[in-house]
Amino acid sequence: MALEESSQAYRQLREIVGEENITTDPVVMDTYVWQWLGDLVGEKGNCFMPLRPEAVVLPGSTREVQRVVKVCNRFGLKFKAHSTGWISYAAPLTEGVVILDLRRMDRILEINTKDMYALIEPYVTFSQLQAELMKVGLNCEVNAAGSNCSALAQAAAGFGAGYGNYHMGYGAGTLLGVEWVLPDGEVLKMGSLGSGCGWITSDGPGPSLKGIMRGHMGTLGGCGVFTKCALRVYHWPGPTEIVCENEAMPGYERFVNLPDNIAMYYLYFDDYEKRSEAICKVGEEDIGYVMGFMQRGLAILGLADTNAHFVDLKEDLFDALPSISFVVLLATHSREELEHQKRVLEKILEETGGGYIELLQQEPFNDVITLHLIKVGTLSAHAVCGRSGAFLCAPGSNAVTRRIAGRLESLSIELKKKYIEEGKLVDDGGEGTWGVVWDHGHTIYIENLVEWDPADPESSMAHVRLQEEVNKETIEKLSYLSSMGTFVEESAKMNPEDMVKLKDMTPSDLIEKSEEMAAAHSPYDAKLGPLLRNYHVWLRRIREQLDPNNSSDASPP
Amino acid sequence: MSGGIDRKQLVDIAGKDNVFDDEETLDAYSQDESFLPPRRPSFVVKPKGRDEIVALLKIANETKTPLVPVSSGPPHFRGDTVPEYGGIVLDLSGMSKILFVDREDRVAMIEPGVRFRELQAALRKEGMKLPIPLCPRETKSVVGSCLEREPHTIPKYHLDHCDPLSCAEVVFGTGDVFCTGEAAGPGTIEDKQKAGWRQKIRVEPQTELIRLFQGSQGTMGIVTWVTVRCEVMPGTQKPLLAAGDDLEALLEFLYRLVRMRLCDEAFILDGADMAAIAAEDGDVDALQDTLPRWILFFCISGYRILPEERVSILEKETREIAKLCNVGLQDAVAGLPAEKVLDITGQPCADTYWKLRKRGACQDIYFISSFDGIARCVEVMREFAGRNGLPVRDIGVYVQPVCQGHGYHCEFNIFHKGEDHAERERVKDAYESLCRVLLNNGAFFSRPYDLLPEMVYERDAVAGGVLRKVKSVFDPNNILNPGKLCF
Repeated sequence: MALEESSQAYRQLREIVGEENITTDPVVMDTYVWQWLGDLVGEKGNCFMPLRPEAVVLPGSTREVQRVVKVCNRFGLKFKAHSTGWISYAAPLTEGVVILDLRRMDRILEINTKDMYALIEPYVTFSQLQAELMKVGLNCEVNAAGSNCSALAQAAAGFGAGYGNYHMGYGAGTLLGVEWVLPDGEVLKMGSLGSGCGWITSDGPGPSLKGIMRGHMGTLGGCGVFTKCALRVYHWPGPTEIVCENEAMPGYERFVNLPDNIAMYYLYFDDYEKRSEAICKVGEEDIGYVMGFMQRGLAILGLADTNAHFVDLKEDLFDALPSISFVVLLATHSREELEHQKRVLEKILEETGGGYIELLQQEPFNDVITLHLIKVGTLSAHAVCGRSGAFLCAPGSNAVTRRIAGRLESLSIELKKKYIEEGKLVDDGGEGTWGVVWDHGHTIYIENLVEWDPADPESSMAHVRLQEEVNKETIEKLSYLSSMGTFVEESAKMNPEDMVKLKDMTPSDLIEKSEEMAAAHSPYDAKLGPLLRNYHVWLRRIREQLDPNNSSDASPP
Repeated sequence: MSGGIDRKQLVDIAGKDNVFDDEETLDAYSQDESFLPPRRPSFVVKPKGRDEIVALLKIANETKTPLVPVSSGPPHFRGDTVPEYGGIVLDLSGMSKILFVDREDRVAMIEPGVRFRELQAALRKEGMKLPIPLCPRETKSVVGSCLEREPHTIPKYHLDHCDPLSCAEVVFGTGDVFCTGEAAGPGTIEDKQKAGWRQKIRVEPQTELIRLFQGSQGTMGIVTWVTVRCEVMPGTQKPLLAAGDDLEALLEFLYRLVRMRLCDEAFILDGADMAAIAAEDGDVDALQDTLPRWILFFCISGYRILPEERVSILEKETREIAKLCNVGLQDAVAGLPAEKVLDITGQPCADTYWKLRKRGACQDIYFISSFDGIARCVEVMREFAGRNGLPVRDIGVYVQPVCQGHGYHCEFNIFHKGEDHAERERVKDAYESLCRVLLNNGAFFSRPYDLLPEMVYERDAVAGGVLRKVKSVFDPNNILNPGKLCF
């Protein structure tokens, strides 16, 4: 039900954001309901999530956000923050939700070159930020989900990984000071900001509240609203502007006039162990600027412009490319240093039996891939959304050690192949893994991307069955838990009514319910929490403290 | 008796040889070098493992008896182990096993009693090292240092204020045992290790609980083991020094070095701190007389493959930047070789701890600063010292880039005569006042110890309020180190 325009709550919200920044128009509100993965949660066969919001408001400042949150608390409404969206969590997960669309808060407020941070609002995208940073010789980690995503959302509230994680660290690690409107409307200025000492750190005074703000994933819009943050940015030895053209391959940008201190090397290996060894050695030798891997099936999906083009390209390229590979971009301060790094790389290849994938070293691939590694751009979105409109990883969403990486990858490839043969999933030859390297090769992040047709319930459910199989195998054989996969697997078993019941329960209710009740109302928690020493119970207790009125439209758990 | 606990209950849990209530022992744990007033605990208990800690927490909760964990040996400086409300001190120094060292995944798992020297020796055998804080005292626990978010001296490997800490096993104040991050599951630690995990991933799905235990001064839980990220031992190192009176020029050079990732170790010391560290058992004042006002130390490293070539190229690039910054690079300053600085700052203090060498006692002031704030805070400190009769010559300064140059740890070391009561009182008054002045000038006291929490949480009342809510979840009876921080 939409809020009545005559209701006191509506009138107060309108007074805060202005007439032009509030709506209850069902057509507009449905645009917030149609979400990636909606086919797994709501009615099968389309991406509409089950619940429409009460209203959508577009606040323009922290003060307005705070006032909206307080109105929601006062009138028993729930609220959910939304920036660039993506994924089913972005839609209301319960009745009575006011969506705060933060698109008016889209300013880069400061670029500090000495302390190397950028102070941004929620709707600043990676591409917007990166372009400004490069002008002053700096760069940022870009989430591989796409350069059109909110940089704040990834660091503060979402998840995802990027090629820059290699020496810039995981996206969440780049977060410095944060302004956080808590679920009760109080504004927490986390870290140094709260002491009036600028944006230089999110840790302290004393224990770091970043520990309850996010983990591998953030709160996904479900615990207050992050209204500003400072992100770490890093030295960029490349040009102040990247000149691109998109003539070489249809629909793709390529780097024009690559400077002589930047070079991309796409490398192949005979087995996963040797690849992991090479990745770690690159990290230990401290060479390379960004690093990652995209298996040949996924790479071809990304390079294809249309479905017909994909079929042709797959026929031409699949067998011409090796299966096990990774790519590293060297970007140095001098040509001499670049040559040195290349010699180190060659020695690593010699030790691990690897080699260069000559085809991808040539134009146009070289320039397209180089640009992708730096900017991300549209290639990854083409890869995962371009063919069918829906994707997820099975498994994915966690980093692993060197010993686990290859086994995880090969296990999931085998499981996926049978669904491809049944014609239920997009045929990438089974080889759709993607990954990046974190923290100088200390850990490796892997996703095995799966694409299906969200308009075809059988295709959606084939993906769910794959998630179940992968979860079972990885838990049993690798002690690996894909929290994203578990969520999808369990969400798909729930009907919308159950979901609503679950979300209406307070944290205390959930803690106090018997195991059976918990399993009935929260299968996700019942499965995931106990496998992780009931961590979700502690999270709920914390959330109950922060959100006494249960006002946030909390995402699981 | 302490609260409702009697000696027999403690002996039943930890054994009679590990429960102490003699005056000498209790006095030893009742105070430290800080300005906190002494308070004697009722017992000191030395548990041998997690299960004993769980049992101790159970009876402490039942009887509302304070528990104060401590893992490092004396001397302590920060007041965090002084039992402000009495109770029981849990001395974890006997839990001192190195549980594993893994070269392939560059990680080690250790108990709270493990100290830097023994861990470095074990790592060296595997061709690795742990990036460590500047010349820690011999008795300092590695776990204690990590939990205090003590910065280390290699900014490029310091990606986060958590580093090098990865996962931990923690007994919450409630008595529940939890393993953080990837160590939480699925499966036991043994299952996970068998599968190939090494407890390196710090996060849970939607929390990163280890961050609550760092900086908490033992108020949230008791850590029984941690894993720490290690790095490879360089094949070749080229340490260099730059010195002069112009702090801002050296800071500019340091900023560029770190931003461009040209070096491993990098920090600035003033003459007082460098003399205290480098004099070892010699005359600190005499050495200080010979040293310049500011000394920047950095080290370029090559690793296993073509190490000399790497060092040569990076040194060339470094020298070009130094020229731009009007900074001269030297292999030695006033007879002090860069090689020696590399050697002594990268290991624990073998003899008298360097902070005690100059005057016998030391009060540290440390905070996180922006780049622009460093020179300003140094100036504020010097002006304040001049106005308040503190000899500027006896205040050491240490500037450490943290988190790959995203912020700076600044430390002022006020050397004083601890046994001189009047001087001690003068330093105490100055310490509190100076910290307030620094806070007003942008110094962020991210780790407020001893006398500072009230001032810090008064400034950031919202954070204090949220922390108290979190504390109520993990330690609802406030038995863990009560009186510290905002609890």
